[in-house]
Amino acid sequence: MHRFPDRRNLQSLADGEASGGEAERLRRHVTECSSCSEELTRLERLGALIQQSRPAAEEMTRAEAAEVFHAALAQSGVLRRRKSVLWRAAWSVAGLTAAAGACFVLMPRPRAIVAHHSAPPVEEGRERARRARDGAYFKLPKPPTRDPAGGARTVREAPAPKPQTGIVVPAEPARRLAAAPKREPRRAPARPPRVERPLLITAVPDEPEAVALPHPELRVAFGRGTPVGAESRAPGRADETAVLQADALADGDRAPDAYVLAKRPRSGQTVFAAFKQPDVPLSVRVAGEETQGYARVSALRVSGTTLVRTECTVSSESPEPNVVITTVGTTSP
Amino acid sequence: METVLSLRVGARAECGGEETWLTAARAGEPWALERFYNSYQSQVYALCHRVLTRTEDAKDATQATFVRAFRELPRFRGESTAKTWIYRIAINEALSMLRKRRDVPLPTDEPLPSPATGPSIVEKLAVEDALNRTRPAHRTILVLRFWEELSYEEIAQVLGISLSAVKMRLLRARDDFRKCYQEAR
Repeated sequence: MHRFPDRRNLQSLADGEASGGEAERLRRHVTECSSCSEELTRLERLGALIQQSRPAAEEMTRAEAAEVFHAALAQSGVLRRRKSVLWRAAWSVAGLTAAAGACFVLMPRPRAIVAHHSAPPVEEGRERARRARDGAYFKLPKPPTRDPAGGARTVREAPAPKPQTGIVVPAEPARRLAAAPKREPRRAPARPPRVERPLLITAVPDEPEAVALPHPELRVAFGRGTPVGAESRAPGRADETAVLQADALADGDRAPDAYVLAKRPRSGQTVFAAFKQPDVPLSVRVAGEETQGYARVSALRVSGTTLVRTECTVSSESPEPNVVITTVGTTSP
Repeated sequence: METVLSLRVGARAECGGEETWLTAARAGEPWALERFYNSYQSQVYALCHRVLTRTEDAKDATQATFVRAFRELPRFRGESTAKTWIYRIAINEALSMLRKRRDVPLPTDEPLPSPATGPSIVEKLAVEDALNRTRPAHRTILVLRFWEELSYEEIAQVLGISLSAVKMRLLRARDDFRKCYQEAR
């Protein structure tokens, strides 16, 4: 006598999800129980009916997929968060540098040898040099003071004012030097830390402008077993030029296998990852032998306050490599 | 002015498997996020389209899915596969969209099926109509099981419910569908 199975178990059997022993037990029961057999058939038919009506997998176009990706990336704030991390790190480095500079400036220094006395004799200069070599520089004795009677005087004690006799005697240069305020050692003017603004997309045009340009500088190199390399110098202002580089394997390898980071030229700050779209065929002739490969590179770069997407395409359809520059959005000024 | 040569990470991306770029994606590396997106966008979009049946809705749901995925990737511990994890997000987004438009008529923009393939057009339309009439949760589990061909275990992970709950919900979904299908015919 078999236990009447749960409908859920019959469903598992119909869907092929019952384990070996359980499936065997259920099958044995179904052969003997007509109502369970009917139920199993109903469940199987229903599953098959839905399965057969499965629509083909819808796909976004490449442009739509790219649009969704950029929008998702912008909305998620991942890049902003990442930039803020970089930003904090940059500030930390700047702060440490400033602190180190301040320490250097405030560090006690050897007293400057003021030119308030006459040049020491040669022997004294040699002695001073020896002491400096021996590390005794800081213990340099005070320069000898001259006897007032002998015409020498100390610079630390101002001489008594001379009685006015109607004739003004100009002070000696050494006196003037001593009386003059001490000059601070010349320091390099403190430069503010370099500040890179975080990249924020503030506006996205409804209809991106696209400009296709022939690209005179695109180079493609190829060799069997070695990567295809496409390097592009996107036209623009010199300080905003981004260099893209992408590598792709040949021999029909369609997997996206090249990822490139475009950087802000001056600061080296990462703007965005460029990537290869693998489905653009590239026909390259190597030593007279034509080989199929794929190369499509795109990257976002900043040009002023405009976010520009640059795409470099090399394909067998177009003999001339070309670049498409698309305005994607406006960044924060 | 010297231009900066972009960093070549292609080799790194090539030699590493999913684990490599997934780790980088968790850290917010743009190239890895893109790889993550390229790996799953077509599946996510197809799933959203099958649940929602409308292209614009599917696109919105896909975008919302990846927005959430990019945000939550750092917290993804790999307890389930990345596929079931992103499916779970996608299903939640699609379901919330489906619930919002519950009262709105559901014109699908799917092209009519070719008469040469599979069941008859009438039957196929009846199935689609019946699926559209079923409750969102039922439609979702039927899509996951019969169109996405996920196992019970995977469905449990995607929906975040137990295995026995999957069996029960699937059975109820089948009953619901059968009722709607008979009405549609």
